[in-house]
Amino acid sequence: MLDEYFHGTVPQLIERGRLLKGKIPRDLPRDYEGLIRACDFELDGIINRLRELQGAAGSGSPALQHAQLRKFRRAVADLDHIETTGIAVLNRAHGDDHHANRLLYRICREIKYPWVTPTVTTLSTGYFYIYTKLNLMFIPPAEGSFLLHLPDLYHELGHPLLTPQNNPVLDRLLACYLQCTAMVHDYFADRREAEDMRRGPQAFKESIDRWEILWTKYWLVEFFCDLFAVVTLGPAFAWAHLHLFMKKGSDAFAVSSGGHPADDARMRALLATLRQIGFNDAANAIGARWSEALRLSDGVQGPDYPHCYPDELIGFVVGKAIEGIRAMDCRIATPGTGDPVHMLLNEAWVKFWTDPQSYHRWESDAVKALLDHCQNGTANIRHGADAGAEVAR
Amino acid sequence: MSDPGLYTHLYGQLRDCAELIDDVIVDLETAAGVGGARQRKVLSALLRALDSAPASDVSATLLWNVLRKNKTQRRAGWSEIADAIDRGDASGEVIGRLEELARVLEVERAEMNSRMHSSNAR
Repeated sequence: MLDEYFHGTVPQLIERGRLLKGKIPRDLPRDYEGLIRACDFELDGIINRLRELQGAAGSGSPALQHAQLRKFRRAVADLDHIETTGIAVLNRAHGDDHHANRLLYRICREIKYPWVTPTVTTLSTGYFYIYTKLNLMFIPPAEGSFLLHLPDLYHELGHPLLTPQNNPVLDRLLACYLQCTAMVHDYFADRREAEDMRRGPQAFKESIDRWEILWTKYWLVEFFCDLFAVVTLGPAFAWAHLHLFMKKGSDAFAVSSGGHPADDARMRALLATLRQIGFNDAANAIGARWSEALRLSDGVQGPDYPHCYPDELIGFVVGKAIEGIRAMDCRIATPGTGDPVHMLLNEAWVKFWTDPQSYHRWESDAVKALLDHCQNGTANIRHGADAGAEVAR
Repeated sequence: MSDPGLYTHLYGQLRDCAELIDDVIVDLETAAGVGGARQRKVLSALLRALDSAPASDVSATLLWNVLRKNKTQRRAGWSEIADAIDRGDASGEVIGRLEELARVLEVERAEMNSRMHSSNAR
């Protein structure tokens, strides 16, 4: 059966892959070259995998046929993914995307980003996210017209750095990440042993197992990307985290089973990092607002929270993330950092809290100045009488 | 990162790992382990890491998590399978263990693929 099925479908899929390559537009700005190359490379890989299956033609032992069917399904899924993400983005690129790409390029230059600048699209159907395989970042359509969530761009920039690339510079961060993975295993192994010794309840031991998996599968990556953002941008990223929590958060102390660590645990890590890189005052200010936000949202720590997110683990992760980012020679944010985009995103939060009512008007001018800076490479982002205002320190 | 990005990140790792295992199965079943020496070497190193130091490598950590979630890790002894792969041993026992691993990974990959396309929550 598989033999006949492959004879009918595989050539059709190969043709589909070739057709997609032909749909890549030829008139896009240079910012899209990375994505074009990534799509082309991925499509070639998929076509080659399909050709191998065509040659094997679904015969042989049951184990062999099972393997061929799995390989076929993966090739189909990958082809669908490229078609609905990379190719769709290239075909629908427009002015807002070009601005976002210029902005990200500026940011990467400022922070001495150690990898290829991702391509940005404003086609996000959710919040910010990045597909690391294509190095393609999605942001919401209107986000480029506002400043307060833009710090999340820095978080997304962290993700490609944690994808193994056989790159000696990125390996320095990856080594620190793997040390954290080992630490998480050791930490929860010790907790399990302690529970065994004292014959603790089975349900708690199962929770320990679940937390260990969640930490190593999802949360460590998210912590590292948060810390990459706060180390390279400074207080604005922690403010953006608070902002997102106010808008979309629910239980800040959730011992969740989902992809993201609890918001409070993330904020603890961010504040600890800010203190370590010299932003004590900003950390105190953000911490005070965070406490108010928690009171307003009625979040209460459950009994599992401190066991799931212990200070010992968070402290270790903070130390290792800073060590890894320093080792990659990225530009670390300090209270004296004067890069234009860095200054503007931090200044936005100072303006927001200093005079919330007039913030919107200020932001509108500031975004125009940012556009101009990204388009023309002006040395400073000057807007009205506020140029050069103090950044929160 | 919103969930779609995080799941896609994991999806890529799962796919690469699953592809590696199936490549080795195909190699052992069709060429009796004489064709894909590089893939066999990579997979045997990965399986040894599962037994000794799963935190030493991103792929080993991923595989360790998948197996742990599926309670398959109790059937350890992956180093012996790694030795067999190095020898090009295509016996039923070796293929069976590799298929077991491939099936678990395929379920996880399909689940992650479905999450990628259905999640937009933060």
